[in-house]
Amino acid sequence: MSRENKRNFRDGFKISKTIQACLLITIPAFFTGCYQCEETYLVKHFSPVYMQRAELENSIKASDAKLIESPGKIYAKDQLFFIVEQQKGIHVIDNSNPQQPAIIQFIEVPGIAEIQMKNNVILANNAVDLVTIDISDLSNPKELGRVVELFPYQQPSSESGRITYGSIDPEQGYVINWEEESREQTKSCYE
Amino acid sequence: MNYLLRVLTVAIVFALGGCAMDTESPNSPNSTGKAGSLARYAIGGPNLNYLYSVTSTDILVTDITNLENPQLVNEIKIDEWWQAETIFPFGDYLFLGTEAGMLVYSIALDASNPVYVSSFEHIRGCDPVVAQNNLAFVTLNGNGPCGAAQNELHVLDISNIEFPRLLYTVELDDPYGLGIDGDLLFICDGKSGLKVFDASNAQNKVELLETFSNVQATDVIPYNGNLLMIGEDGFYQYHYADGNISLLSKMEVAKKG
Repeated sequence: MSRENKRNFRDGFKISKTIQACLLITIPAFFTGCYQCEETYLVKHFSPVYMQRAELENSIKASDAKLIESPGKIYAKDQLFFIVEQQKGIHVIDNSNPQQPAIIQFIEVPGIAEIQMKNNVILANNAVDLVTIDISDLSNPKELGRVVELFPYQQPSSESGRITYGSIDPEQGYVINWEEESREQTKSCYE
Repeated sequence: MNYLLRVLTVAIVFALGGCAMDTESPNSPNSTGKAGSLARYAIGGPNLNYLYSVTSTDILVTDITNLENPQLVNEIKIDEWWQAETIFPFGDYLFLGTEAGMLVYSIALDASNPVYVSSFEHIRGCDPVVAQNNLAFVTLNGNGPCGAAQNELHVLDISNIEFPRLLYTVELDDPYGLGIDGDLLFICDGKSGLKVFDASNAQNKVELLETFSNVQATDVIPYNGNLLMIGEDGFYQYHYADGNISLLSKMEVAKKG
C-alpha cells in the first residue's frame, strides 16, 4: 500500500475523544439494569382464618344437609357413610340403600381434617383439639369430650413459590381454615 | 353338657371372629367402622380403647375407654426424615405410610405402646399402605409436592414382618388411595380413574381387570361387597361382591362458581 492509503486506513478507524467518552459511560449501563426486564405472574395465596377458643369449644353443631364441595377423608360404619368437608365439617350419608345414598345431615366441625368412630361416637379434630361427638341422635350431635391442643400445628410450606401460605400466628387464635386469594407478584427476569 | 357346648361355641366364634382390630365381634360391646387408606387415625387395642393418630413426626396414643374423657397416654416419636402420613391397622400391627417408605409397629404386647418392628424404604413419594394376609400394597405418588419417585404400586411380602421385602412393582399414573378385599385390589389412579386388579395371585403378580377412566379417584373403602369411592367429582359406589364390578350410584360434588 502507498503511504497515503495506509494513513487513510488508520485515520478511518480513529474515534473522536468525545465519542470514546460516551461509550465508556453507556456500555456499562447495559449491565447495571438500566435496561429493566420484569415479569408479573399470579400466585395463589392462602391466609389463615382464626377462631378464638371460647367459640371453638362451642362450634360443633348440626346443620342442614348440603352439597359436597371439597371432599376430604371418608369413613364407613354400618348404614352410614361420612365425607369430611375439608376444614368445615362432616356430611352424614344414609347408605342403607347404596343405589340411593342420601345426605341426611351436616355436622359443623371447624378446622376438621380427620374422622374415626367408636360405637355411636365420632372422633375428629376441631382445629388442634381432638373431640368426641355422640351421634346417637343425629339431629342433635353432642360434644362429649375434648383434648385441648392434642394436634400440633402444621404450617404448610410455600416451597413452590406459586402457592404460598401466610404464617400462623397463635396469638390470633386457632386456624380453622385457609382463605384463598390470587395475588400478583412481580419479579426480575433474572431471578 | 349344654352349658359346655354353649361356652365352646362362644369360644369358637370368638376365635373365628378375628383379631385385635375387630370391627364387630359377637359379644363385644364396642364397634368401629372402616376408614379410607389416606386416614391418619386408627382405632385399636382390646375393647377398641385406643385412638392412634399420626402426625408427621409422632404416633399419638389416646385412651378412649371413656369417650367423655379421652386422655393422651403416649407419644411415639418418629424421625422427621420419614414424614408419616397414613395409618392402616392390621391385626396386632399398625402400618404407617410415610414419604420415605412403610413403617411397621406392633401393639401385641401393650396396645398403649406401639413398638417399632421394621421398615421398608423407597424413593421419596406419598404412599398409603393396605395389607391382607402376607402381603402389603403401597402406592407411590411422585407428582406434586410428594417427591421425586415414580408413580407406581409396590407389592411387599410381609410373611416375615421383621423383614418386609419387595416382590414387584406396577407402573401407575397418579396414584392416591387403595383398598384390598379378597381377590380384588382397588387403586385410585387420580386423573386416570379407578383401576381394579385381580389379586388372586398377588404373590406373583396383579392383573388389571378394569379401568373406570371417567372419574377422578382419590380414595376407596371396600365395605360389605361394595366399593365406596371418593374423588374430586363425587362419591361413587360400585358393587364387586360377585366378581363383576358395576356402578351402583353416584353423588356429585357441587360445581364451584
